[in-house]
Amino acid sequence: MTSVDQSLPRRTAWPKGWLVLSAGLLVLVLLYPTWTDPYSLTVLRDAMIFALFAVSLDYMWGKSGVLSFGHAAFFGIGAYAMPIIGPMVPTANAALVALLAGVAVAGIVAFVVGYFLIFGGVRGPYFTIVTLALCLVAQHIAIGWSEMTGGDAGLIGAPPFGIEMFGLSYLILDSVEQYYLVTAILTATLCVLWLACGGHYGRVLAAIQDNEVRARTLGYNTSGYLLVVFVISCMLAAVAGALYAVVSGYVAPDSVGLLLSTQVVVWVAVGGRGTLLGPVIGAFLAIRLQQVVSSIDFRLWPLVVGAFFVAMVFLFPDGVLPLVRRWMARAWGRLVPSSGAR
Amino acid sequence: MTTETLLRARDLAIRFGGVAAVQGVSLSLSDGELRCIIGPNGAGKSTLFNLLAGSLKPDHGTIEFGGRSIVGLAVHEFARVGIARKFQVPSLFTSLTVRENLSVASRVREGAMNREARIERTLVDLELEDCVNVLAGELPHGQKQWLEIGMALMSRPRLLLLDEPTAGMGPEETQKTARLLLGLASSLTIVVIEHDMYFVRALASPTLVLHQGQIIAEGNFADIERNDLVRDVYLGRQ
Repeated sequence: MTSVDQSLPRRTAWPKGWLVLSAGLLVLVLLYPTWTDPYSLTVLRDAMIFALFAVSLDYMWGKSGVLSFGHAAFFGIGAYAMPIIGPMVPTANAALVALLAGVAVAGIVAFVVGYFLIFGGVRGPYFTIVTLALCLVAQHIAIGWSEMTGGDAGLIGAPPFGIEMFGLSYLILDSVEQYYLVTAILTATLCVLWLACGGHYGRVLAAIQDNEVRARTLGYNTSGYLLVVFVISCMLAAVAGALYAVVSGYVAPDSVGLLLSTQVVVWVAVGGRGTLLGPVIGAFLAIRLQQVVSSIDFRLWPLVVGAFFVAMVFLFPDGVLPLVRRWMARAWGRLVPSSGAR
Repeated sequence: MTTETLLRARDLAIRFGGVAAVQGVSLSLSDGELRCIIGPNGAGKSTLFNLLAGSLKPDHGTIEFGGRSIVGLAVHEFARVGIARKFQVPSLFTSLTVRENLSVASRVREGAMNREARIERTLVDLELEDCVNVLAGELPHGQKQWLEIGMALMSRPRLLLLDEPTAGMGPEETQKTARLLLGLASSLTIVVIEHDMYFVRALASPTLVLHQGQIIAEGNFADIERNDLVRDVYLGRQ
């Protein structure tokens, strides 16, 4: 038998130091409110909400290879649910009820759309184009159904997050508390997705992404897998939208627009598709860049962000995180064989 | 010894436009049987596999597997009833490692320990234990073929369909594949499409000859080799 060429590319494990680095980063994020000013805190809080949105897309695009260009539609459903449904609930649980309702609506819409697309065999660029159309439809509804959505002017009145039980209630009004709430949700989402995608389930998704026909002939109902991923991803996008509506206090048709759908794709691509943590970095980088450019001239930023994206695709097609990972692996010399999924 | 019929296909037919790719094909496979299918290019061998594996639905005819009709089931359901397949061109998950490919292929419900034990056994059987962490897309061609056979075995099939398992292999690898299949044949039913007559001869199993979508001969390979029609349309007179 032929011997195995030792120079063949092998999967390498993430360096152990990476976990330490992630934990260190989390500690910094948790301590950030102790030394920063309120404005910077709200900027980071909003960036984390968009990072959650980016993670939701990465779970679908990065882990299963299905790119949606209409993800903002689901972000918008979650966002609009807060000022529409929230005021109907006269307790401190209003935001929670509105969040659950928005996430449920997003899940139902995703299930119906996804079922017909995915089980209808729509894949690749065709899927992307249909979801793009979905985004346009959602934006038209947001503008046109003004009695419900406020039209171009948008809506205010999203209730603050809080909880009311046994006659006791607690409202999260302070920006520091909101910051910790967002941090907790983002961290929990990352951990759950990382654990889920790190085992057999993640390998199956990678296999479907790689060769769906083969996965099907091995007995996997690939359409079922993709539908579940699509629905969960859209529900996570709705959570991000709901958080955004509460902390910003305002929802506009931009929240379901094509621009936001495009931006989230850029964040994921820049950070590193399929890495989960990469889109968080991508969202932070892009939002920071947007702020810097806007402070010079607010009309410039779409142009600069577009050029930045093109440059990133040419220079670092895998994104920032895989690049950092390679640097770390090289620097630490820990090329340990791995049996884990990506 | 009595053997039960595992698969019974009757009068299968499928057309692609004006071309009758398979017409009136009937075959019956018993438990633990090894069967070869030979024939010239375009004879309908891979199309027949596509029908048996559910990738294509026949225009006409029935397929029973374990006494149950399976025509019209989804592809993944064919796999779930116990039909595994190796494609003509190695079809692997190229961005996954050898071990991960085998792990994904083990869809059956079993504990992680059992799965790992079966993976280890398969790696040893296929002599792939030195490249467990190599990306499947980077393997040499012969090892890709073995890995795909290994993936099919990991799904614990009752019927294994192998489309040209030795294509691109050297003589030593071909012999090893023949030994492997002969060893497996006692525990599961195997159908092999092959163009390599040395390999088919080594298997020395019942052989079926397809030509223009129809079965033109069936029997032991020794008899098939002497069949005038088969020699005219496929094997040649030399």
